[in-house]
Amino acid sequence: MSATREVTAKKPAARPLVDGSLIFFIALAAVAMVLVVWIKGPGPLTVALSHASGLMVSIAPLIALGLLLGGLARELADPKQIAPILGAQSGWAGLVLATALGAVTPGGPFAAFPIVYALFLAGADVGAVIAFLTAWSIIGIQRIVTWELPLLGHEFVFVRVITSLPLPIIAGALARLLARGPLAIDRPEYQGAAAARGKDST
Amino acid sequence: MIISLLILTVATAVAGFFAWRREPASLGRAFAFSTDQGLRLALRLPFSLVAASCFAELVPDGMTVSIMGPDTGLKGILLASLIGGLLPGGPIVSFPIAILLARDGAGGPQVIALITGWSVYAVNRVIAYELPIMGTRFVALRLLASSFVPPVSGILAGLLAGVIGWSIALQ
Repeated sequence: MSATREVTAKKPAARPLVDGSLIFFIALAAVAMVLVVWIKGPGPLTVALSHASGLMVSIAPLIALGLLLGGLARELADPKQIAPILGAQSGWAGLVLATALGAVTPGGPFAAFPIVYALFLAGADVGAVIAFLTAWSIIGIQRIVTWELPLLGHEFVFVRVITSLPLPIIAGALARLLARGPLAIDRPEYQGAAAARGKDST
Repeated sequence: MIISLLILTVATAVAGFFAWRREPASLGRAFAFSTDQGLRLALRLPFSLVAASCFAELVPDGMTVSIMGPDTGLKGILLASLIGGLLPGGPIVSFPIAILLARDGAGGPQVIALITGWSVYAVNRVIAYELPIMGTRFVALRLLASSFVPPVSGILAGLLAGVIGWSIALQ
């Protein structure tokens, strides 16, 4: 376990610090500044820059703390331990569990989609997979603590998260209904695993 | 802001304690990961904030209020959901845009629909990750099954905020 964890922990450091996305953001900022001066003049540019720097100063300590919490969440929630549990579940309990697991799964789409695909191959039903994905995207704890809490405040976050809690479960149940009808999905064949399991989940 | 800082500090301390109790070395890994992410963010965030602030200046006065202000109701919530789905990129782009729209007069439920629309419809993420990995039928099924989520989250959040008297408007 510790070997695989070391690999995943080292992986981000291998990415160069200056890459295409940094250049994209610099270019975007430059274009935006030129457009503001061109269309509205230098005054509004000063306003925009002071907005941006004020925002930067006020959220920097919160984001730093949020990132540290995100890093700790990665250590506490190991997707490799989660996958088999979700694959074995079904029914409403399965949807609730998938929602909870989606919420604690850290990382961006590059990390989450391989997990989702593995869950699907391992026999998780499509409703549970969709509940998982929906929960990961709307109530993902790592994104909430890194971004939403610092930028939008605790009242906003509390109200949004509480009301969003049941929605992934409902989306998963809807997906099950739809998958029984016109949008039936064949599990992808994967080294005999799917064939051995058969089409039992629907 | 102070309360957010307090919640984050407590949560980080608790998570740190559990990680340490499970495996002391995990604290070092978590710190290394956060530092790496933080460096990337420290380089990109100033530019994304400048870009978002400048684009906010370019939005004509009153346009945000008329499209997704607090009085736009269901129409504003639906529109905000769709606009959110079209926002490109990760949280580094979408959250600054959301906060600037909120300061420019967007209503609380509308901002929530926007963020949830960005999370659920996520045109950008669908094209880059979901279609190639999960396939067309899965994407169609997921989008159909979760299409109600962004507007309903905006509506429910507005109702709850009204009931408990908390403010989700950010001006």
